[in-house]
Amino acid sequence: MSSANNITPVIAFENVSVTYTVEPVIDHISFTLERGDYVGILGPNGSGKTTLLKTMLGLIIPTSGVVRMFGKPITELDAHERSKIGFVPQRISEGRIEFPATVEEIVLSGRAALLGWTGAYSKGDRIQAEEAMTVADVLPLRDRLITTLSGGQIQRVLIARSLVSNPEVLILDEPTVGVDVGSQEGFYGFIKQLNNERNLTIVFVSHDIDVIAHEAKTILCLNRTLVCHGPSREVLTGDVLERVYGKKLRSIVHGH
Amino acid sequence: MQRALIAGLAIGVIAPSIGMFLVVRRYSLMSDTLAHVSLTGVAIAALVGWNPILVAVITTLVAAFGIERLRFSRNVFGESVLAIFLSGSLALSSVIFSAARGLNAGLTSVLFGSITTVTRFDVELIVALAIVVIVAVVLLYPKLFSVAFDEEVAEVSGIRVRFYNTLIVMLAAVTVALAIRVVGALLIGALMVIPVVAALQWRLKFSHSIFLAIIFSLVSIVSGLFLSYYLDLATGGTIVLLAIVIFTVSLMLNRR
Repeated sequence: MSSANNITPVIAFENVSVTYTVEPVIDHISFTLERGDYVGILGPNGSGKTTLLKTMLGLIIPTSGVVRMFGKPITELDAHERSKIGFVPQRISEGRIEFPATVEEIVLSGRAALLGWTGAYSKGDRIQAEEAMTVADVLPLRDRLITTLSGGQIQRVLIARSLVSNPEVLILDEPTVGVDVGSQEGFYGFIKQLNNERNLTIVFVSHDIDVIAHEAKTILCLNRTLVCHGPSREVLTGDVLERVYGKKLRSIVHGH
Repeated sequence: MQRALIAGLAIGVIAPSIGMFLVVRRYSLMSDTLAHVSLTGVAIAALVGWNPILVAVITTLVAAFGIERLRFSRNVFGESVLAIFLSGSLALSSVIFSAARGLNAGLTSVLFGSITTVTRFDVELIVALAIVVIVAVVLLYPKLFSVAFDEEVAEVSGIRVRFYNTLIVMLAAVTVALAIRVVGALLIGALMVIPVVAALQWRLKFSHSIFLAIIFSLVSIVSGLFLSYYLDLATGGTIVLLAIVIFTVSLMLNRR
């Protein structure tokens, strides 16, 4: 299985473009991400960040180019291989917060794709769910309805759900929108732990330069095309930021 | 009476089971749309002289498939697809009914149910198809839950979201067509939605809410059957009114 191969990049974009009508939303994007990377994708609104993310997840098929996960074109992955991808969508999504289910039910549902035709979760599934809830520190909330939780708690539940299939890659979309700064720090501390202790590859999208500069080890700058790709210390120069955001921005890299 | 009871029990189990998935996805209008379509099926059956339940099931299944395709194709704007099918089928059935043998009292039984006149073949058909629906829901529950809660994450994990969305609508179609006999086309929507909304007032976990909704639905149907029989009232209306009473009590007992 290619996932055991340390040489194959975890994620590879090969000349990927996505066009909806006339102009490409993302244009000839090529990059590779290795196992254990901690990548922040930076870009203003309209830069194609969401499209890039969805293409990375296989939700959008590129107009041209190939997206590879673990060496294979993403369209060819089966459910077992796809379980290696964990996705944590933006918390503010219609209807989610009003869904009448408990934390445990939602976390368990992360294993639904792996079930055969028997349609029942096994003891093993439930143990995985317990572990995931423990790691994400939401085990005490397991029997609470998600409708009663705070924004930060919901985010942790969604992370637990993404961890329950033992992923090798965790992809997060604007993970701390609407979360207060205190919870934000705890959140990114937790993500850093996952990255360090499990060698989990982390990819997250954020419009918050501060957060990306502070947390990510590597940065991808996007503004329809790939404007930068490298260690955050090197990459966040005024020059690059101007190309991404289109105006003069002082470099705001905090000490690592 | 015994036949009516068996048919009522079968419907009482599947209606809220499917109804739960419609309610949490905000597709409650779907059940009414399918009900109007099943009316057309009954009209066609009257025209050709075939079993009304059978033709209703087939017609509604075909329409359900068409509705999902139209909604997915995005050529027609959102909810308007339902509006078209809703009014279109009503128009069609009124035309066919008038062609068949003129609008007569037979229409009342279709609009409001005539469970007391259900034949042996009807009961066997209803029970057989109800078993199919129940088995489908039980075997596919984890995936249906996953899709209902979060389509994107479900898709990423390898679940074919489109297939399961279409499946839910088709199971709803079968349920609606079978339920015409019990409560009639005008009130099927109520039977699929009201016990579910009543159960949700108790703020249980998702799976327990379905069980409670089934209990509420069975209580409404059985007591409605006996009440309408002995007091000589419209069966369909009695059942739905009892369901509303249960809902009101649930609402009041769980006020926050």
